[in-house]
Amino acid sequence: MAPSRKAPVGLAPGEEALIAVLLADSFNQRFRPITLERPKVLLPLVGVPLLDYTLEWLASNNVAEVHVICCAHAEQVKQHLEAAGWLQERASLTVKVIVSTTCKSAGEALREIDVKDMIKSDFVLVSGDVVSNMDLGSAVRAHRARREKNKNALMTMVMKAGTTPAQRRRLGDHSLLVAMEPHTKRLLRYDEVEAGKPLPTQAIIDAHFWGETDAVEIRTDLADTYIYICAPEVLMLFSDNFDFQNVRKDFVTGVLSEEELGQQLHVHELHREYAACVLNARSYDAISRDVLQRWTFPFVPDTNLLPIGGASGSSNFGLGRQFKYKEHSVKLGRKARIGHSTCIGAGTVIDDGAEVAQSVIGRNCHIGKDAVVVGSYLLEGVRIHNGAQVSHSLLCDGVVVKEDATVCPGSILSFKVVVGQGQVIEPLTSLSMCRQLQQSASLSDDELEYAMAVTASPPSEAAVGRSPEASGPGAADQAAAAVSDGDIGEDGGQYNASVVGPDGAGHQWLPHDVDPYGLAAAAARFSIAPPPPGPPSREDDLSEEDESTAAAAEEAAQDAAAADPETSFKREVAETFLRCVHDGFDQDLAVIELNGLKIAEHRDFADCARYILTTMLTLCLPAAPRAKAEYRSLFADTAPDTATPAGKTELLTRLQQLLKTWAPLLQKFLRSEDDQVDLLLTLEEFCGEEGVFEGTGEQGGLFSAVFAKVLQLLYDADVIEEDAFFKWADEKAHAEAEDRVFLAKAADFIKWLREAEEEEESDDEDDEDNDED
Amino acid sequence: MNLPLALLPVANQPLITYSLRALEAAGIVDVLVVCLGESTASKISQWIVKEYRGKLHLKVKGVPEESESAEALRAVAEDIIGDNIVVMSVDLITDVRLEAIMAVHFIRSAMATVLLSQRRTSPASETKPGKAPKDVEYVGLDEQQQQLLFFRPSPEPRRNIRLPMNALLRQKRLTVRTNLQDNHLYILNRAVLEVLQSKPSLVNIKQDIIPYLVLHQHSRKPRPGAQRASQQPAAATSANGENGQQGSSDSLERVDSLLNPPTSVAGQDFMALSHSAAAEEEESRGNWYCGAFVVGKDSYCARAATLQAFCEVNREVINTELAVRLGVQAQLNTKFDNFLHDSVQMGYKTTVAAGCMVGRGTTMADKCSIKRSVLGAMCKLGSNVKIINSVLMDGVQVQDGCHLQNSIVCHNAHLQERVTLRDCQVGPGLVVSEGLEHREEVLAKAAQRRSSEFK
Repeated sequence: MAPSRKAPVGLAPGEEALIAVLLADSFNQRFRPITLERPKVLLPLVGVPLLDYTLEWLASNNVAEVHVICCAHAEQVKQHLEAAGWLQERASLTVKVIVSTTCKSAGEALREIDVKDMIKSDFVLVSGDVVSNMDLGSAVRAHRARREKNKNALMTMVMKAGTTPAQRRRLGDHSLLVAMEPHTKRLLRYDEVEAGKPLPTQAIIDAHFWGETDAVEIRTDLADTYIYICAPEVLMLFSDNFDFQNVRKDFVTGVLSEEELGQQLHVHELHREYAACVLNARSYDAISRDVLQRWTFPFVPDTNLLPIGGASGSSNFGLGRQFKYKEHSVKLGRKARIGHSTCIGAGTVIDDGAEVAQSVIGRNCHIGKDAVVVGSYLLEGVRIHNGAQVSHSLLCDGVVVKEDATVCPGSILSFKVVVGQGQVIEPLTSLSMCRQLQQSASLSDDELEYAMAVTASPPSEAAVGRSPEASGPGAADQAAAAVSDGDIGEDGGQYNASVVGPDGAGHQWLPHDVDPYGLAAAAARFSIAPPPPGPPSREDDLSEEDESTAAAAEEAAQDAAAADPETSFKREVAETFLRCVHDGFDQDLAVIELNGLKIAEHRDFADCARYILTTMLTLCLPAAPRAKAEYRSLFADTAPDTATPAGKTELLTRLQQLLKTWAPLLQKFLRSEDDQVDLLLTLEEFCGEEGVFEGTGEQGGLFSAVFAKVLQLLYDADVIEEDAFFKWADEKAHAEAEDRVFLAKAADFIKWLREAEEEEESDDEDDEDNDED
Repeated sequence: MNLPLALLPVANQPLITYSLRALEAAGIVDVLVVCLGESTASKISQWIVKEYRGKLHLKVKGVPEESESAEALRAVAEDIIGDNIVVMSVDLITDVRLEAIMAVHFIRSAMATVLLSQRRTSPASETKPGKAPKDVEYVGLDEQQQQLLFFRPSPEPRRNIRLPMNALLRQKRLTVRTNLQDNHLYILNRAVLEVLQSKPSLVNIKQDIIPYLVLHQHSRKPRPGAQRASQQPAAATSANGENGQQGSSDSLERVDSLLNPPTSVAGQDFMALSHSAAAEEEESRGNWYCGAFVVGKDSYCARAATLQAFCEVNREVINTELAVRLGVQAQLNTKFDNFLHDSVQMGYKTTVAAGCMVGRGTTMADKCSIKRSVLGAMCKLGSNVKIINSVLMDGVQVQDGCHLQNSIVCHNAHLQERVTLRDCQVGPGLVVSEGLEHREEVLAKAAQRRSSEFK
């Protein structure tokens, strides 16, 4: 079983030896509850643990050294490596195990490696659940050539090209939108759209990419294979950015968003070779079929390349017509019908009249008379009793399905679950001997695991199995799951007969994946159950017109906004101010925030003040259509009718309230009389909906009816002083008639001010006179 | 320069003759010349009456001066007869056979076909990294370089490019390039005119109509006027001076003509119904197929839209081989590789370098040197005149010791002794007094100044 053959792929002898880092944990929960008892990498795919596919593939590419990082179920992984002979000294491949049970994400695992300082050269980063037959050599050579020229070419991502939407649906994976330079294959953009989530109607690509290259290729046919060729600097980057968890979500996005640093990622496209990653039950199903249909050659059952441990020793599969694989010691009943794309392990007995199609049956299974197994995966020692039906489900070691029971599509039955006689397991059910705990909501994932270990059988395994979870599901979702789960928690140790039947055994697990699109939909998407046939309805055409025109209008507006620095500065100030109001910041903090903005944008105090004021004014009115949703609550609900005196009063009262709180802030930004005059000029623009206030939907015009009163309020709040008013009035007196509209409105107020001042002066004089007296 | 763009001489022939020759060669009969403003229209009409010798049926039509290209097209829609229309800008000079583009348009039964050519300089090389390029077209073609899948002109740098997702999914891989340029030559199906009528917001062919058609080419909406397809197809052609931001051109033209109707295949409809695969393909290519014609590297394609481009085009056109292909009417002097009219008189030690053109009756005194320039008819050059990279129109007088570089001198202008011009334009009939030196200036009589400015 040792891979001693010299493969025609991989690196030529003269080249530098290659190191691989293999993550023996996928840091997610998609395979729960199975992964409570066995790590995903040890889950057999067509009879062989996933990890062996990956290791064998690395060995066939002449990789010299593989560092296997074990997190969850580290002992089991280690035992397996030992048993399968990977740890023995052999000429071509050295496997080193790193146990690090505290890691909860790929990022942490990589930081751990960086700390250990073991890797000094380029390496292949691969997940332990990758099935591939690609030639690493060409990708590595391309990577090294790029590194020669540019030290910043950090990583080469291997992607499978030419996938169709149907294929992607079958893998149940993200949809991927990739933008790259067509010649250099430099990655410019990497967008994952979560599976099941509708794609946006438009892909928005930054135009500055075209400042560096004349052509940008946008691809929707690529699928990530989770094989990355990395420079050692990648590890350093993970250490530097201690919040990087996920390679794609954090690292790739992070590097691409910080272009200034010059670091680059590249894409290696696979066209004829195979590579895929078992992410969930759906892709487990899809990849199993690919193996059966020989896309992964030489990693197919009948080459018997891959080691199968256990009592029966190495495998001896043979291939029949229609992709039927069978080991020698299979006993078939005379009338048993075996359909195409089937693989049956040694020691399995299939009785008369049973029907097996498109399924993988592990070793030592027993399928009773007239039982039907379609599209399902039976691991070792599964017993299907007479007349039972199993379709499109995954049944782990030791599962028993009793007479005439039915297992509906999409179900996952974990180790040793028993389905009672005549019982029907509903579609998309997960069953396990471990119990999903009610109080899980209050527990972190670690504690959940621990609690599980205490209550659930077999404790020895679960105790090791601190399955680390990637930035786990939100507490709320877990709570919801746990509450609905209540009946299971309460029956304390007893199995729910309505689920598994009176003579069955197993607890139901409810999905608690974070998924805003409905748990059922998510479960269906990732389940083994076949995906709905045909492409999803294309609703693109009828609504397209409106969308596109709307989008074009929006685009135009955005472009205009971007083109005008004044508008964008106004928006920045408004958003900062709104944030201060929204979060109830102290005024000092607000001053600091706004000052920062002022310095960053090379503005002066008056610039800040004017937009603070106008934002304040807009707060008295309903939110403008472009206001951000989070701040909408701050705005008034209705616009007062300024034609009526009541409406005017209402509007002014609102403003007065705001000024009471925020006048000191305005004062801080009005350093001189000129600043105050500027403010008045801005106020005019705002009320006239001119300049940056034109067409913003802020309805500044409503204030023009009460313009004089607004001035009065500003005067009363000590925001603007008399002298500024006079200066403004004097400046405006010589303006053209149309520019004097607001001056006319304010005429009475100015007059009143002047009179007041004269009085004051005369008072002063009087006072002086009095003093003199 | 008081001349409509269409009548500016390129290699001593009005610009419009190049377009008209191309149209005539393509077998088009009726041409509608669309001009911006009635005064331009009347000048062009005069020119046609006086000078035009071709076979085309020309009809001149003026539209309001500030019209954009699509508005102009809308205004003259009623005068367009054919089922397909060639719209071309008068400032386009190309040796690409128009009939080839038209054939491609018909074969694909396209809604619109756009002529694209490689840019001479890569926009990315002229843009700072981190900035978006300006004055480019973002173009996405299918892998056979036939179908136009994305088209967005961008005169200003933009922040982002929005690609319709359904096109991306349909196409799987789409390369969006900026190194192709649009040449203001469009072949439009008549249905476009109906789109034009129903969407008054579309004002410019390049900026609005083509992007609109490209965006909607996969919509299931039937082509407007699809039922007309069985009628006799004809090509209505229109040459159209683009009234873009440069305001460079002032004449629009259009041509209508009748082509031979293609023989229709019997039972075509039945086949379309029964061959589901074919029907699907039809669907995938869209009801409003927008095609592209990408010019090969060895073809010439240039637009004299700016002063600089005008000078450049002038020089390039008199490249001997190209001149032949474009049908420039002048005698080639094979020995010196330039075009000298027989009646040209040259003084002692006067040289005219290769790649120059000198028109009928022009005289040059002693020790003149002419390089990479085009001189019109009946010009009079004194001695010791140096002319480099310049265009002199008819009847220009240049006195002793003048130096001209990168300049355009309009007809009947008079440069007195020792005038030095660099990057200048001189209006018609203007007298530049002796000894003056000008750089990057527009010299014209005050009244002409507004209309004459090229840029």
